[in-house]
Amino acid sequence: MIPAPHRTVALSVVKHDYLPLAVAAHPQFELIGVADQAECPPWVHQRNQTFADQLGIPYRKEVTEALRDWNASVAVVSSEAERHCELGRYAAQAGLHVILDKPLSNRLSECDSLVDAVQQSGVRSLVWNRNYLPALLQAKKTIDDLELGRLLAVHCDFFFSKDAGPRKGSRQPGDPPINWLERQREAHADGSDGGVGVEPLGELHIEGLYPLAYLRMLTGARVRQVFAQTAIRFHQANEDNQVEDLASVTLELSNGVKGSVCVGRIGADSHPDIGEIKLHLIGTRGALAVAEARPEISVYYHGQPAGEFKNRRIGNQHDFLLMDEFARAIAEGTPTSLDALEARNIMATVQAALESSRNRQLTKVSNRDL
Amino acid sequence: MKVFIDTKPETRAACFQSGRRVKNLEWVSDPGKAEGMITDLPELIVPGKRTLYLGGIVNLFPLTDPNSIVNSTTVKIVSPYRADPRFLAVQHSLFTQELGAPALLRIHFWCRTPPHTVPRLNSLVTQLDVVFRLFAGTPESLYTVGNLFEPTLQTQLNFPDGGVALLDFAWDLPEGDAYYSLSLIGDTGAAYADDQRNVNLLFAGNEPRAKLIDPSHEWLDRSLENFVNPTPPGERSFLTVNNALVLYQFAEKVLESHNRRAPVSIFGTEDDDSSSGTSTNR
Repeated sequence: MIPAPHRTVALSVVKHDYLPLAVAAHPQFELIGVADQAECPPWVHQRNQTFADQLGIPYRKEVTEALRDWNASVAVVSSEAERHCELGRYAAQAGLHVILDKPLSNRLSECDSLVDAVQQSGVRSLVWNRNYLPALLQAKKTIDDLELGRLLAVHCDFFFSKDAGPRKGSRQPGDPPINWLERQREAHADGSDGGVGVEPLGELHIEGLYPLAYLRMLTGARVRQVFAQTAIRFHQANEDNQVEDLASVTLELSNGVKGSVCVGRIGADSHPDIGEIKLHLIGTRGALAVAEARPEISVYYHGQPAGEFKNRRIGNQHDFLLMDEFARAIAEGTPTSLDALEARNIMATVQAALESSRNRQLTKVSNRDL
Repeated sequence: MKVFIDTKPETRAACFQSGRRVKNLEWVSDPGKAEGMITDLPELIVPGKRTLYLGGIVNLFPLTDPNSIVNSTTVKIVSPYRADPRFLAVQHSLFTQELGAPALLRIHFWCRTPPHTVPRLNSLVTQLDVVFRLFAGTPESLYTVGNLFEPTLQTQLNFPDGGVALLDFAWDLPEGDAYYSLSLIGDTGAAYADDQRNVNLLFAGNEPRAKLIDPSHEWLDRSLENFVNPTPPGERSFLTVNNALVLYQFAEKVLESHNRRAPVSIFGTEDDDSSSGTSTNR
């Protein structure tokens, strides 16, 4: 007998609709409604309503009663970053398993409160990641099969070749600084609004979770200490709001593995596709250079829009596999690829990197155990 | 130019092969009749004699007393990556303003090198030279994890304007394997020189093997060309002994960071030789 799908509520869909859509696409999950806090500004309600209308499901401007009335068992959160943990906490305290968009939060205290709620409620949690991309799965298998011997070092470049509004240095005398939230709302049209929210976020916050989650998966270890440098090189919005658009971090992990992560939103002119995303793994018996985008095909045609990616990813079952993992975690109590606790520790790594960049010092990461 | 060569046999053979492409080059067997000399042995360097030095940069110190030749402008020291076509293409893109100011340089240098200080230190020094050629300034701090006796070394060089160079060395690749990747993110563009892009696939049973189309051999052709038919001073094809000394001293700071398990602040490594580009000048 096919089990009934998990009744799933989308708690805010102001950022990436691909996340609740990926949940809804899996046979074991059914999206039954959208809910968000009544006090949210009108543009938030408008986005939530639009998404609900597209799926033909109801939208309610309150959370607690919606979760109860709809008898939901899973919540998927894709709000502004500063509300991820709050909404996730509501869901966990109501006994729902939670899926959260990245970054987990912009404040470590918020992450801790979410982790507390998840642990006290005994629910499962999953923070959205890219660990099931085909190239990553192959890399993981290569490590697990000991083809590299013992892993010594992991390096990851995670560059998005996207623009973020006007170039740095474009602001004319007398022009007001760019408002972060307004800029992010504009960016929603092309999906580059990963930093949506009132509080400005640098690239380490916005995208740092992805490469750090790769490291977590490939090494099974936490980052122990970091040495970092951040910079504002490309975008006026980052300059006006004093958040980095480029960051380089040297990492030392708890199991002795070393490595580095570079993240950046480096401008649309810097790569023909979404960006150069690569991993370099070194072991005692060999090494592996990984192009995260593979497999892909290339398509060129007359009249092709300049901004269209010429290389297109194929053979990618990432979303299904990630949701399959979560369904299994709910059914069998197995761990997820990135739960709230480890996403919290990634957030602590980001915080340590920012502190290191400010202080120009080697900085320890305040990891949390169960 | 009449050139006398006194090197190890394998270097000599490679030079004769590369020399076939170089105009105005005449090999002579009598050093007394030579206008220039090629050697890979530091002890054969003669101050005042126009010399192309092909040996390891680190071998110059302390085998040779640098004070005797440090100010010599007649000694041209080859730093192979200065003449590597991958590096030259990226450098051209940077110097013609296609990329804007350098923001992040990432180099992966994987090879098989015996656990011996000199060859590993030489590869570190040559890549530091790449860094200083591409960045118009001196790092203000660096942090290193790993050393010459471990299988890997990585170092992060932070520049005052927020620029960063990250160098990753793996010394213990399986026999016959090597990999080089250089990517440079600039303020207005990016350049990627990555061996992963330059491989063909060999099918000979079991799994396909990547066969690199390696362009790096051109460094010797170009070095000989630039020695015999000198390029304008601004192109700085070679290191002076003074440049090499600065690089060597900087490499020691890279290693010092690991030994101290702490970041190292950089002061006083400015190189005043404006012809070099080793430090602040480009």
